[in-house]
Order: sequence, then C-alpha cells, then structure tokens
Amino acid sequence: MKMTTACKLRSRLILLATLLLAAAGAFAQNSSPGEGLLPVTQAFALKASIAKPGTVELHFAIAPHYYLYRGRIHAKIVTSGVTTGALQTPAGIKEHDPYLGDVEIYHDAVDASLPYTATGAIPATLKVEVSYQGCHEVEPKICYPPNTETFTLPTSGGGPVTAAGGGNAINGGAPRNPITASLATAAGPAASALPESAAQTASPIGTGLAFALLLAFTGGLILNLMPCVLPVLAIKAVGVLESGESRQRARVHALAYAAGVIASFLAIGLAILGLRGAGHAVGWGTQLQQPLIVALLACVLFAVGLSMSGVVQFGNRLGNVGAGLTRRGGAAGHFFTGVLAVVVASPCTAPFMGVALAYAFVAPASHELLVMLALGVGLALPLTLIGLVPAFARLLPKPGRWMETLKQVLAFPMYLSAVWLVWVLAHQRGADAVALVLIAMVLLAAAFWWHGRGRPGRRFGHAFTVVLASAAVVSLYGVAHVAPPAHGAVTDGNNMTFNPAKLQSLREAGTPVFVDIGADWCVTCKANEYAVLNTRKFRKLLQETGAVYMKGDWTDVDPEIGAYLKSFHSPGVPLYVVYPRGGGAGHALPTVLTGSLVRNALVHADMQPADVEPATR
Amino acid sequence: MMDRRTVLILALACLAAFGGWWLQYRWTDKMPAQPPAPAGVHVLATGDSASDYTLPDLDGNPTTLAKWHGRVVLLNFWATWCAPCREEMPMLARMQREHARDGLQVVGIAMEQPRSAALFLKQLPVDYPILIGIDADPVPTTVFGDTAGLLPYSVLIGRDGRILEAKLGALDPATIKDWLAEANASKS
Repeated sequence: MKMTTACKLRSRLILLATLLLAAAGAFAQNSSPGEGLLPVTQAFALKASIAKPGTVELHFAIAPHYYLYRGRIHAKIVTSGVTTGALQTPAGIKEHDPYLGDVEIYHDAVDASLPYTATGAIPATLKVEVSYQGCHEVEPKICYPPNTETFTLPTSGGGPVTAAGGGNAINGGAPRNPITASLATAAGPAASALPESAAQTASPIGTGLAFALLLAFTGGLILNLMPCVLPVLAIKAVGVLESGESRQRARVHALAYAAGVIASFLAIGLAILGLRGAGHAVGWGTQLQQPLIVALLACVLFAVGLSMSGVVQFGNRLGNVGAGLTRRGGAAGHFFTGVLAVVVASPCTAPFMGVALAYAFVAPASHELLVMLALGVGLALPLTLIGLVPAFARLLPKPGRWMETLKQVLAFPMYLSAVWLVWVLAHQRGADAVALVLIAMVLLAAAFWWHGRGRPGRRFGHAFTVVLASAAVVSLYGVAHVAPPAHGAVTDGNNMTFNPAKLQSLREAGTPVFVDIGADWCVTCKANEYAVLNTRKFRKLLQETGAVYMKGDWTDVDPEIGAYLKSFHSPGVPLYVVYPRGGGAGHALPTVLTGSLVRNALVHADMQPADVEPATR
Repeated sequence: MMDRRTVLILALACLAAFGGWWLQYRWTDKMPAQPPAPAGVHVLATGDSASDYTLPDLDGNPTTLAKWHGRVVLLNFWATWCAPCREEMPMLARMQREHARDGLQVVGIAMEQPRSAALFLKQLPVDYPILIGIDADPVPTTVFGDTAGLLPYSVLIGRDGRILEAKLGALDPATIKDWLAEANASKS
C-alpha cells in the first residue's frame, strides 16, 4: 500500500516535471523564429501585376525594422518583342551614407511601376525580372544579398502575382503610407478594389502574436511564484484544503477565481488602451508613478499581511482574505480573491512578461487584450487546476496545524513588499507622504482591530469602525496632494541628469554618452545599479572611455522621458542606451546588465571614431 | 511544516522557471537558423578543414587559404551595399594591426565585383587581403554556413585550417579577442 502511494507520487512528480520542462522547452524553441530574421521574401514581400496594358505594377510590403534601398531596385521585362521603359519609384527617406553618398530608403511599403511597349503584337504573358536589396536595421543588423524574383504576368489584366505563386492571383493592397500615396504612377490601381490578402500581410504579425501570447502565459504562470503573489495564493490553496468542500462547489469556486483574475487583467488592458488613446506613455509599472496608487497598494499589502499574521481577526462578514472567504464567501468571494491576486501582482514583473508586454503596448487593441488574457490565464491556471482537477488537489499536502504557521510566516514577505512601496513613495513625494501613508496604515489597523473586537449588533461599534476607516482613506487621499520634492539637476563632471537638449549637444560635440533611464519602483533597475552601475569599476570605465553618464528618473511622470522611451520602443524601464563617440546613433543595451556587457558597449562606443575618421577624410 | 512532496514540487517549479529564463537568455542571443543549402553543395561545419578553399584576389589571381596556414584566419564576408559591414571594417583593420603579432590574419571576402570592390577600398583602405567571392560557385557564404547569404558574416579558422567559430552580424573587438584566445588555446 505504502509502495503504491510512493509510486503514484513519483509518477505524478515526473509528470509534473516533464510538463514544466516541456513548457520551458517549447518556449525556447518558439523564441528562435520570433526573434530571428525573416526569409528575404517575407522581409520584402513583392507582388506584381498588370492593371493597365503598358505598365507593370510592383508592390513591396516591407516588414517592420526592414528597409529597401531605392537605388537597388531594378526591373526588366525579358520577353522578346517587348521594350522596357525606366522603372518609376517614389522618393524615399534620404539618408547620407559616407561611402555611397546620399541614398534613399523605403520602410513599410512601396509601389513602383515599369512601363513597357511592344514592337509588334502584345504577347499574352510577360516575364518580368525584379531584383532588390535591403537590410534589417535593428540588432542583429544585417543586410540581405540582392534577390531576384521572376514573374509571369498575363497582359490582359488580372490580379497581382507573387513570384512563388506563379499564376495564382493574390490581391494587391491599397496604398497604406505616404510613400505609396506620393507615388506618381500613370496606371489606376485597378486591383486595389479587391480586399487585401490576409494571409500575405498577417503572417509576420501572426508569428509575433503567438509568441507574445506564449510569453504572456508563461509570465503569468511564473507570476504565481513572485514574492508579492505567492503568499496570497498559498493562503488561498490552504483555504481550499481546509474547507473540504464538495467537488462541484470547488469547481464553481475555482472558475469564479479564474474569472476574477482574467476580468482584472482585461480591465487593466482596457485601461491601458484608454490611456494610450489619450496619448499617455504607458508601460508595466507606470501605475506606480501615481503616489496615490503606491500608497493604496502599500495599505492593501499591509492589510493582507495583518490578516495572515492573525494580529487582527476580521469579522465573519468581512471575511479574511484566505480561509474566511473560502469558507464563508460564495463565488463572489472567490472572484474577489482573483481580483486581489492581480492587485498584489501589479507591482511585480515576472520573467517573460516584459517581452510580451512590450509587444502588447504597441500592438493593435485586439492583440493587446489577447496578451492580457493570456497573462490572466497563466496567473489563474495553477489554483484553478487545483480546484478543477482533484488529482492536482491531492498533490497538496494534508491540512494540519502547519498551515497556520505557514500563513503567519508568509505574512512577512507581504510586510516587506509594503515597506518597499513606502520607500518608493518616499522618493516620489518625500517624508510628508510617508507620514501620511503610515498614519493610514495605523488607522487601518485600528479599524480592523475595532471591528474584530466589536460584538454584532452594537451600532456604535460599527460606526466607529467606519470613522476609523474613513480617517485612513482621508489620510491616504492626502498623499495625492503632497507636492513632489524639488530634484535639483545634478551635474558633476561625468554625471548628469537626463535632459534631451543636453544629450543632443553632447552628441553633436561627439562625446560618448551612457543614458540610464530607471525608476525607484523598478527592481531590475535597482539590481543593475547594485551590480554594475554604482560600482567603482563602472566609474573608472566612464573615466577611461570619457563617456558621460546621463541618468533619467521615471519614478514620477515625465513626458520627456516618456517620449525618449517611446523612441526606443521601450515599454518601460530600465532602458540603457550607449551613444558612440562621433555622434552616431544610440544603441540600446539589454535590460539586465553585466559588467562585461557594459564594458564592451562603452569600449566599443569609445573606439569607433578613431577608426572611422581617418578613413572618411 | 511542509512535507517533502511540497518542497519538491516547489523546487521543481522554481527550477523550471529558472530553466525557461536561462533558455530564453541563451536563445535570444543566437542568430536564426539558416535555410538548408541547395542540393549538392557541401556546407563546411565547425571542425572541418577549410585550407583548400580558393578564391581569386582583386587582380584575379587564385589564392588558397592554406597561404595563411599557421595563422588564425578571420574570414569576413562583406559588400559595399551592406552598411553594417562597412561599419565594422575599420575596426577589423585596427584589430589586424594590433593583433598581427598574436597570429591574427583577417581576410575580407567581397561579395562584390572586383571593380566596385577596388573602388570602394580606395575610399576605405584596409590593410588586410581581400578576395572576391561574387563569381565563385558554389557561393562562398553558403559553403561557410551562411546559406541565406546574409552579411556581415565572419568565420574563424584555427592555425590548423579547421573552422572554429562563425558569426552572423557585426563583430566587436571583445569577440575577436575571445576568438583569438580560443584559437591560440586550441592549437596546443
């Protein structure tokens, strides 16, 4: 008997481990195509058509972060008896290239036209050869070799053709950007009346979405393990164990919990969409730029901690966060636990989440909501499974006195999380705000304490609880009205506060610059400061390379920094950018810094000019 | 307090999370897989000897890589239309000057007609040899593992003529120094 239990357990564990590793493995496999380069025909998707006799129309759909050189697009008709005219291409974005001179490049999409004349009767089909060449402009910066595609087009008119598709008609798109609009073609866009082929245009975005969803889901799963969330969920799981409720009730409650989590994430998603529509710079953690939200979250974490410590026994009607709600509350209580899990999770970012959110914050609305949904499903899944599948519930240890101890132990991470938020607030609004939030916490504790000791039916008791709670709310509200402390711009030697104008003048002067945009509520930023940026080694490196260290603080709302982050497509902080000597373009570093990575970046930035300058002269 | 089962499950979950993160960290640095080579073309892999590989120089004289046998050869594929290639060439020239004593031999392979390559090199002189790869069949980039022909692309060849490393995208001095150290360590 004992043997079979052990075997069962072992097989279950093996199953669990396999599942987790398979998930990790699947993730890793998927990360390659998502991050990688597109095949040349996808990076520059080319379609050709003859809408009007006498002109071949070419349409390039250029994937994001790729560009085509205007001067390297060539086309000719190789059918005998047909004379090719000069290829008409619209003006592109002008860039100065030290060796090629002024070059023009295209992003997004471009239309070109190729006039032709027939010496005799017009052949039924024309064979057109188009060659083009372009590059990938973000890391890894590479260029594609010139690519030639051959099309066989019916001259009697018909839908555009892709080279690979031969004769099958795939519809061309309507002009989508200024470059296309400014095009001076003689031919009318006959094919544009047809709807754009979804399969053609959606495929690169589709890959991105699937990848982002996978990341979001994984990130949501891992969010369960973050120090701010784990205690709440552990208590919830304990509650499920303690209650010993029927399977059916457990199922209803699990679903209610999942609904709470997912609804909260969708609400966040909608809020972000609203803010984005209003033109605000949003990113994960942006909510912590609002002192009131920071103070509120600190109080919530403190209250959850109090309930876990058992210092205050919440009344039956209020219910305590864990077991009380599970026992007493119905589906609504579980829904609330789901909401609470998201609230306490909001200051946290789990691994994988960053990439998914970066995608979501710039993706179309439907994709953004899908990513939020995936995050919610990920966060909700473990507890929901415990409720839905008895086999998972059986994996949990047997209820016992240890649970009370666990609950009390887990209160301490909650207190520490609250301390962290108070510290963030101290940086945002100074000592006054800290005093107000601490007063609010004391009043909150007093309200709970009074509520707990009051006997049911005593009206005065309830009234006093309400008074105390209101006082706590008033105190919290006061936080919103504390003025931010004056931050003087620091400029000592090689260190200065972020300032776009100053950055511009430094770059014009050819000085290498290391820009660091962080925030007090950003744990990754703090870790990087501790490990790399605040070290003597880094200071020495700055001196050696002559680079200026420019630090921007996004702890508070700052439109200039918001715009700067946006220019690097950064969903939030940290953002590290290194500008090379000689005023070249900035290069963003990964969010997690290491000493060698920073050293390489700075040394590289310092070295480029000396090598380039003599050659250009 | 918690029984072994729970501890084990938690540990496994943490391990999987860490494993996933680590894999992400490892994989995001890697370049995408190259498409398969055309049929009949033998693609050299790490460990294969490239000593016999021959390409014409700017004047059309066939040059075999064996010419630099005993040195650490860094093949750098480039073209004038490739901005990141041109950006790294001055750095490669500098590395060649500084590390010639350590056995480094940079060899540029221009995926370019000799005339335009020579014209370009007048503007940006580099003091390392240049071979012309544009007319070679099979395509040199394919032979050395860059089947998509993406540039810049670099291959490290050890003193014994065997391929040690390959990298798609621009090189940086630190990588070259690491490669050189690796090549010098593996010779013994």
